[in-house]
Amino acid sequence: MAHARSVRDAAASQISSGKRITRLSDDPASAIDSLRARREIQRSQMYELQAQDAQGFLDNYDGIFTQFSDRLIRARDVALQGQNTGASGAEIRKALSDEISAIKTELLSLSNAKYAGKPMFAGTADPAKAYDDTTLAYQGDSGQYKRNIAPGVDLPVSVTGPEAFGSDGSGSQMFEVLDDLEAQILAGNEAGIASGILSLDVARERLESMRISVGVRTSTLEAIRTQRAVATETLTRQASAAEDADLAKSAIELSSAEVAYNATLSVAARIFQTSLVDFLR
Amino acid sequence: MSSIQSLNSALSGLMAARRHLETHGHNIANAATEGYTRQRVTQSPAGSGIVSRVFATPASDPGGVTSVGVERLTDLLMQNRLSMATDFDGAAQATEKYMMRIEDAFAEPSDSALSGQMTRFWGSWAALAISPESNAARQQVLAEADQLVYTLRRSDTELSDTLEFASGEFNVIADEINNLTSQIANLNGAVVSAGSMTTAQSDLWDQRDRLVHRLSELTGATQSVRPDGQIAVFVAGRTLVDNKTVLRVQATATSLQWEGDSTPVEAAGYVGALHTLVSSTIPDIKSKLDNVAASLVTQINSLHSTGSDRVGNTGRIFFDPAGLTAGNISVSTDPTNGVYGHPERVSAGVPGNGPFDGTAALSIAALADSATGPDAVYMGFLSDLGVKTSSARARAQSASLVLESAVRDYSSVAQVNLDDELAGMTAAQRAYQASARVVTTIDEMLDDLIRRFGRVGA
Repeated sequence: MAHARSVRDAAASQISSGKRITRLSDDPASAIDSLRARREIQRSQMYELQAQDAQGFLDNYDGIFTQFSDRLIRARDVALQGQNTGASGAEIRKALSDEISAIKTELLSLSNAKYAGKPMFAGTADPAKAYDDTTLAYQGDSGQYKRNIAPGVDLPVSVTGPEAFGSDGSGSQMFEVLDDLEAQILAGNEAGIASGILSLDVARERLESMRISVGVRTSTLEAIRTQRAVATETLTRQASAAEDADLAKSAIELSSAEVAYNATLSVAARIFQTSLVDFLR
Repeated sequence: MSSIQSLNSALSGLMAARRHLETHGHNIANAATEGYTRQRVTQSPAGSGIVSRVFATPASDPGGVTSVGVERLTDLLMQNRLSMATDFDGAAQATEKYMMRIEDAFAEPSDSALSGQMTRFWGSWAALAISPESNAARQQVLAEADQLVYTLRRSDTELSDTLEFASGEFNVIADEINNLTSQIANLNGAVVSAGSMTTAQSDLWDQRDRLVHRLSELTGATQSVRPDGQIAVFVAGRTLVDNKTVLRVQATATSLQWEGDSTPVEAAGYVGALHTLVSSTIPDIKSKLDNVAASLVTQINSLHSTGSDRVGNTGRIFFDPAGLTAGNISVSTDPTNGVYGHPERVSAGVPGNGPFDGTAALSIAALADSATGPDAVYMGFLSDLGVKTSSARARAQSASLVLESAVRDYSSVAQVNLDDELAGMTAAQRAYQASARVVTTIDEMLDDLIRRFGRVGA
């Protein structure tokens, strides 16, 4: 009778709690499976947080690179115009060189862009400006932000100034090139303008290739996020399979346990009833 | 046989029937008494033997019936089986009780237990890696570390409490065993002085069997009955009680020993299980939990001390390196390098990089996925604990089933069956009525003889 009752109670507690496992020893293998699955789910929420931050960074870079690219194309047009103008028209040259200067200033301020309070082109450092306004020298470090977007995957999500714009004094550092062009156009030096345009192309290509690299990282990130969304669903299902009670099954178990318990009760009642005591007088 | 003798013979029948009734009444009265063994009156025809004389003559045989005594309806084999089942059950129940308690100390699987706690701790490091410049993220890491330390210590305290409680049981058990054995020795004396088997004698045996039963539950004791009705009780190859001599036991912190020579009692039953729990199982679990704490401390500290804190200093200490057990793990309070109360000292970056570097925090967060990391150690520990507890539960369940069937078999022999007793009572009642009728009949015969003898035609 006691056994029948304990079976019934177990089924009832499964239904009321909705859980098949309420303690480790109920089923150690499944309990550990479900613990692992739960842990994975919690971990993937953490990775998702990292991935969201990474996505924000990469999207921001993409947007900024577009602006850089636009401005550089404009600078090239201006420089070509300066080249064609040749020695004539000092005023025109002044106007053109002023425009280059404006582009330079604009790009310098763009290079100070921040995402979530962090400078985007200063490595992991926190200088007042990524590039000095007058010396045009890089003020940051070579550190990179990395985001742990999946187990063992630390995705670099930042681009340092030298990576995007060329290292100082290399001849193709974007701001130095613009500065040089500004001077050459003002001076009307055709050869200087021509070599400046070549350097500008080098700088622009570097920027474009960084933009592609950011694009590649974005697609890696997206692939991992999609895959994780699927995996999380599987894990949730696994955890549920491991620890949740199958309600239909438990309900059937409960009613059959109840039938067994009632049968035991009625048999017991009959056994206890039949005694000679009732029949002797 | 003379008529008077016949009267006596009938009288003996009356008395025997009454004795039967009394015994049945005693049985029925004790139908619900635990450990009671039903009794039967044994009787034999009186003087059935031929009296040995020069000329053998049965003429003086008085006839009738005598009650030889009372028989205890028990079965030694089943009694032995019962005591073995009791021994195993005692051991299994003790193990189950303690393993369940230990399992409860960890409250897994649940998000609020240690496993969830550790995952949140790693999550706080990952969040710090995203915002290494933030003091709030550092506060969060410290808060989670506090929680983790608290949970580890609480689990450890519960384990220690359980261990202490189990050790404390030895004192209680030693007293109980000494009490039981001296009672058994007393009963041995009483059994001898009570002489042949009577109702009272049988009750003494029952009482003694109950004590031995409890003793085998505690220690796996076995008994053997001497011809004079006294018993000897053995535990682990030594004689605990022999007739009226008793070997006393005493408790130590972790075991039970013989009082005489202070050697351990290698008992089975509850004591045996308790001894295993106290001397190996619980300390083993404790040391495994300590491993989890130690791996947390050493692995995090080695990564943390090479990292650089918010203002670029290195060599900061996260956990107190001396606290390598679950009981004394703590966040370092070192005045110059400890992070406790100094969130700015929590190191997230590596030297040489700027304030936005989260490399060190990232590698600490990655410990969560390391195959030899604290999480892996803890998971291994949990699965070990789960398997042990589950097998203890299974053993307890099967032991109680075996005990149940042994009890059932034993009681089917020894326990009072009311139908049986009532049938016996009816038989005894009829026998009494018949014997009374015999007396009446003889009386009538004698009446005829005395009053009417010699009268003719009256």
